[in-house]
Amino acid sequence: MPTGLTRYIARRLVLALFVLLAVVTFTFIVARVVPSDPAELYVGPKATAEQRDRARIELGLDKPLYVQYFNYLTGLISGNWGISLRAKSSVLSDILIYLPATLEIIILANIIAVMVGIPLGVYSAVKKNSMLDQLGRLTAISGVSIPSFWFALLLQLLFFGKLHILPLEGRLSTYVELYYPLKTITGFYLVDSLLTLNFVAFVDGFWHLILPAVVLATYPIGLITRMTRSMMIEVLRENYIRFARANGITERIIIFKYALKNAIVPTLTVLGLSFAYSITGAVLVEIVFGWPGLGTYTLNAIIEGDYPAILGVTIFGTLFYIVINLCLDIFQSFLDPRVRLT
Amino acid sequence: MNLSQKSSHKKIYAIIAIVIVVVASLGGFYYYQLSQVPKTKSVAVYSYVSDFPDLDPSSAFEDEQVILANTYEALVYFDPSMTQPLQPWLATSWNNSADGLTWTFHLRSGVTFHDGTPFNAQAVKFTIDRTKALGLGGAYIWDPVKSVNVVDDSTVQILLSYPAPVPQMASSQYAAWIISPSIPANASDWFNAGHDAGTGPYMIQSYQKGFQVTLQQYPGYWKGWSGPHFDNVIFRVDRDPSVRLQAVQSGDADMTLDIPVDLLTNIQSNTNVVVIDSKAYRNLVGSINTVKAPTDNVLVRQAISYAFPYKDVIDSVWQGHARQSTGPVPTGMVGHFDDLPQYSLDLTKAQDLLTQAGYPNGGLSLTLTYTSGDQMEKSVAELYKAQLAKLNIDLNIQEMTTHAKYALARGDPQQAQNIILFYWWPTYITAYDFLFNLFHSEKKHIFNFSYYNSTQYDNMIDQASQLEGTNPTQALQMYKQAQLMLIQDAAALFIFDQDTTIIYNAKVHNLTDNPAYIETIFFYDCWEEAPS
Amino acid sequence: MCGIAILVFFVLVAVFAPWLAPYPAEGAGVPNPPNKFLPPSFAHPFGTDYLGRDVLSRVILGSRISLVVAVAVIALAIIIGTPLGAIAGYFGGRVDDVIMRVTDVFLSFPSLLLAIILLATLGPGLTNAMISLSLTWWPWYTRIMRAQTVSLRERTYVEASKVIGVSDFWILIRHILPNAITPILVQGTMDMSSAILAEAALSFIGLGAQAPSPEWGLMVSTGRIYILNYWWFPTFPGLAIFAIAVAFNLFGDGLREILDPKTRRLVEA
Repeated sequence: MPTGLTRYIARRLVLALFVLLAVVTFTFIVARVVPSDPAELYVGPKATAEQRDRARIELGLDKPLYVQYFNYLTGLISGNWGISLRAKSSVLSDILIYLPATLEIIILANIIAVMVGIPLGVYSAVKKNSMLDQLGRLTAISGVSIPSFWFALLLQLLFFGKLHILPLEGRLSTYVELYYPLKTITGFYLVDSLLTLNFVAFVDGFWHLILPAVVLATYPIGLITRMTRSMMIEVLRENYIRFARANGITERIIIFKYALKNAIVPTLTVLGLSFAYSITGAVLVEIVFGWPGLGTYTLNAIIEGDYPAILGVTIFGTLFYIVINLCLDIFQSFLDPRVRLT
Repeated sequence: MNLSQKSSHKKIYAIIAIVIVVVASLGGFYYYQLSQVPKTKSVAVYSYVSDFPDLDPSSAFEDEQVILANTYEALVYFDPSMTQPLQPWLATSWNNSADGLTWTFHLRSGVTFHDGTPFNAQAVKFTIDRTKALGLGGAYIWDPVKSVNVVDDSTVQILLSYPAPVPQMASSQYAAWIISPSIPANASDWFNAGHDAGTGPYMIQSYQKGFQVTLQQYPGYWKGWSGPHFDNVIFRVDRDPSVRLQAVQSGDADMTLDIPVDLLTNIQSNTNVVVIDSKAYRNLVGSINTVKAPTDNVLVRQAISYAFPYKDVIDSVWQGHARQSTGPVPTGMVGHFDDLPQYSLDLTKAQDLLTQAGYPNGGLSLTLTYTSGDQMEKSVAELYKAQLAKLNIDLNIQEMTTHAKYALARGDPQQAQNIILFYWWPTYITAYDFLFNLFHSEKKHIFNFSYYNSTQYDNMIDQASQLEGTNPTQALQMYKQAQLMLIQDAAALFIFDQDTTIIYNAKVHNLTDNPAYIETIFFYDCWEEAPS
Repeated sequence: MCGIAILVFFVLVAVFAPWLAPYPAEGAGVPNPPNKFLPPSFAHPFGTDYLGRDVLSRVILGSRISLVVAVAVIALAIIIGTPLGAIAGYFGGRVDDVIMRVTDVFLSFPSLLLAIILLATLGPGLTNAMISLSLTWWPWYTRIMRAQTVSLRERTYVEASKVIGVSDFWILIRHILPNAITPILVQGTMDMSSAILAEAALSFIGLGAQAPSPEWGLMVSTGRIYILNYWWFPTFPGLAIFAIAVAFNLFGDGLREILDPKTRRLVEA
C-alpha cells in the first residue's frame, strides 16, 4: 500500500462513523422536538384517547428519551429502522422498495451529465472563445441556474403537451403494465426488463426515464462543463504542455493523454458533489414526474409527520452521501498523494 | 486541421448517427408492438389521487375504501337513491328487540370468501371482535357493541350496551368490511403485502405499494358473472390532477376524479369523455375557535360569518360544482335541512356586529390554517383574507400539512388557530357523525376544533343518536334543533358542500356514484364497450 | 459585464416594484376572481392567475423577495461561518478539531434534506426557510475562511504583530479578515444564485413562502398542475428565477476572474 494511504483511509472511516453518529443523534432529537403526536398518526385521527394511549405504549413513546435513543441506535444497527406510522410497515424495507426507482434516474442523469459535460468542457477549453466555447459557457451557466422543477414543467409541456412524443409521468405506461407485465427482480426497470427479455417494457421504461433523467442532469452538466473547461484551460497553459506541443506531439494526444488526466481528479470531486446533489434534486424531479421513488416517499413522510420514516430516510440519505464522499476521497487520495496530507 | 482531427470528426458524426438509428428503431419496434396487441381483456384503470397506506379492512381509514368496496362486502349496503336506503348486502334482513339493545341479522347463504371458505355468522363475529380489539381507524363505530353472538351459521346477534343504529353502522365504509376468519395472526402485515380476505367480486392480483393495485375477478362471487363485466381493475396512484385528467382524456386511464374545476373548462368539447356530477356527502368546514379571543365573542363570530365571500367561492372557485352549506350536514344527506338559516356576504351587517362587540374600527388579528397542497382551500383562504381586510381585520393565513394542522388544533386552544379549514365526510351515514365529531364537547381534543362546549347541545345529539335506530323522525328533529344552535352560535363557517365530479371514458357504461361510499366506484356494476 | 447589467436591472425592478407593477394591489395578493386565468394579452402581458391577479405584477413584486432572500441567506451564513473558520484556522489544535467536526456533520447532510428537517421543526414560512438555508450554508464559509486563515497566519506581518504583543482578536480583525475576505465574497456571490434556487425549491415543496405572497417558487408550485392548460401561470415566475440565478452566476464568475484567479483552486476544492 502506498505511504500514508492506510492511515488516510482509517482516519476518514473513523470520521465518517463519528459524523454518522452525530447525524443520527441530531435527527433523533429533531424528530422528538417536532410538536406533533406520533401515536395519533398511528391510530388514525378518529381514534379515542384510550386507543392513542395504548398506541403510545406500543410505540415505546412512554419510555424516557435516552432509553428511546438507545433502542433506536441498537435498532438501526440490527436492521430495525422502525415502523412507518402511516403505512405500518418496516421503514427500511420501504426505503429499499422505493430506492431503485430513484437510483435509476440518478445514475442515468449522471451518465448523461458526464457524456455531455466532459466533451463539451474539453472542446470548449480547447477552442477557447469560439462558438463552441460560447455554447460550453452558456451550458455551464444555464445548468447551474435553471430551477429544475420549472424546467421539468416546460419539458412536459413541450414533449407531452405539444409534441405528444414522450409520456407525461410514471415509470411504465398502463398498457405495458397490463400486457407486458414486468417482473421486478432488482427494482431497476431497465435491468429487470433485459433480464426477463421483456423488450417492450425496456423501451417503455427507457422512454419514461428520459425526461426525469434529463432534468436531473442539468445541474451536473453545468458543474461538470464548467469544471472541465476551467481545469483544461489551466492545464493547457502549463509548461509541459507547451513543451509537448513544441516537440510536435499531436493535439489529440496532448488533450487526451496529458491534459485530461490531470483534469480528472477535480472533476471527480465535482461528480461526487453532483451525485450527492442528485439525491435532493431527485425530490423535486419526482414530484413533477410522479416518479414513485425515495423522493416521493420522503415528501409524503414529511407531509404526514411520519417521523420514523423521516428519520429513516435522513439517515439513509446521509449514509449514502457519506459513503459516496468517502469513496471519492479515497479514490482521489489514491490518484493524488497530496490529498492524503489533509 | 490535420488529417487525424478530420477523421475524429467523422467518427463522432458516425457515432451520433448510429445512436439516432438505434433509438429510432427501438422506438419504432415499441410502437409496432403496442399496436399489435389485441385487447382481449376488459380492463378499467382508475386514476386515483392518493395511495393506500393501510389495506387492512379493520383499520383502513383513509381512501382504501375505494379498493376495499370492490374486494370486500359489508352486511348492509347504504343506497341513498332508495326510499329505504338500508339495503341487503351480506345480510338479507334484520330486526331489533323492543329496547333496541339486541339486533339480529339474517345472513345470505351461498357466499364464499376468496379463499373458498364459507361466509357465515362466525365470520361476522370474527370481524367485529377483531376490529374492536385492534382499535384503530374506524373501529370506534362498534363502541356501543357489548358482544356478538353466533346463533347459527346464518344468524348473528349483536348486543349493545346502549341503543345505536346498527344497520347504518354495518353499512359503514370503514371498519365494517367482513373478513374471513382464516387470515393469519397479526394479519396487518399480510394485508399490506397485498392480500385480501373478502367476499367481494374482485380480488387483489398484484400490489405495487405506493403506486398501483391490480384486481382480478373472483370466479366464485355469489352474484355470478353473466353479462359484461370488467376482467381487471387497476387503481393507479397519480397525485397530480393534471396528470390524472390527461390520462383519462388520452385513454390511458378510464376514470378519475378530484380534478380542480379550472382544469375542466374545455372538457365538454371532448366527446371521448363523460363528466358526471353528484352531490357528495363532503363539505368544507371552517371551525371557529370559541374559547380564544376575539373569536370567543359570539358577535365577532357572527360578524366574520357575514364577511365570508360565499358567492365568489361557489361561482368562481367551484364554478357551480358546489353549494353553500346550510349547517354542518351536507346537501342530500339524511339530516340536512334546507330551511335552516344561512349567512351571506354582508359587510354592513358584519360592521354592525363588530361595533356591537366593541370593535367599531376592526383592528383584529386572526389566524386561519388550511391544508397544504389543496388548491381549493388556498383560494378560499385568500379570498376570505381580502374580504376581512375591508373590515380592517388582518387574517393571517397559514398553509400547513394535515398532520401539523391537526396537531396545532389539538393542542392548547389559546395557542391554536382562530379558524381551521378542513373537509369532513361521514364514516357511516348519520348526521350524528358530523354533529358529534365536530361539536360535541371533548376532554381531549380530537376533531371539535371549535372547542364548542354546550351541555345542552351534547345531550340533544346524544339522545337523538340513541333514538335513531328506533325513532328516526324524532331523532331528525332533534338533529335539526342542534344544527340551529350551531348556526346561531356561529361555531363554524359552514362553507360549501361539494360535488363528486367523475370524469370517465365514454365507452364505460353504468358508472354511478354513491355518496355514502366516497369516491368509490363499484366496478362490478359497470362495463366497457368492446372496441370495434 | 452581462451579469452586472441583469442584476442592476433586477435591483431596480425590486426597488421600484410598487410603481412598476401595473396592478400593484393584485401583485400583493388582492384577488380579482372574474379575471381568472386570462391568457397573455396587452392588458396582462403575463396573463392572470387562479384568482384573477395580474401575473406580471406578481412577478415584479416577487423580485423584492428573491433579492432579499439571496442577500439575507448568504449574509447570515457568512456571519455565522466566517468567524468560526477564522477561529478554527488561527488557534488550531482542539478548537480547530471541534469546529471542523461540527462543520463536517452539517456538510454530511444532503442540504435540501437538512433544510426540510429544520423547517419541519420551525414550521413553514419564508423567514424560517431563510434561517434554515443559512444553517445549511454556513459550513462552506467556515471551510474557506479556515483555509485562508491557515495560510495567512504564517505570514511575517502576523508573526511580527504577535511578537509586538498585539492581541489575537485584533490580529484577526485587522490582518487576517481583510485579506481572506476575497474568496468569501466571490463564493458568496455565486452562492446567492443557489440560495434563490434553494428557497424557490422549498417554496415549491410548500415549506417556504406562503400564500398570498408573490414569491416566484410558490407561484411555480401553485401553477404546476395548470401547466398544460394555463401555461403562462407557472412559466413566467420560473423564467424570472432562471434569469436572476443566471445574473448572480455571471456576476460571480466575473468577480472571480477579476479578483483573484489563483483562489479558484481553493474555492472549488
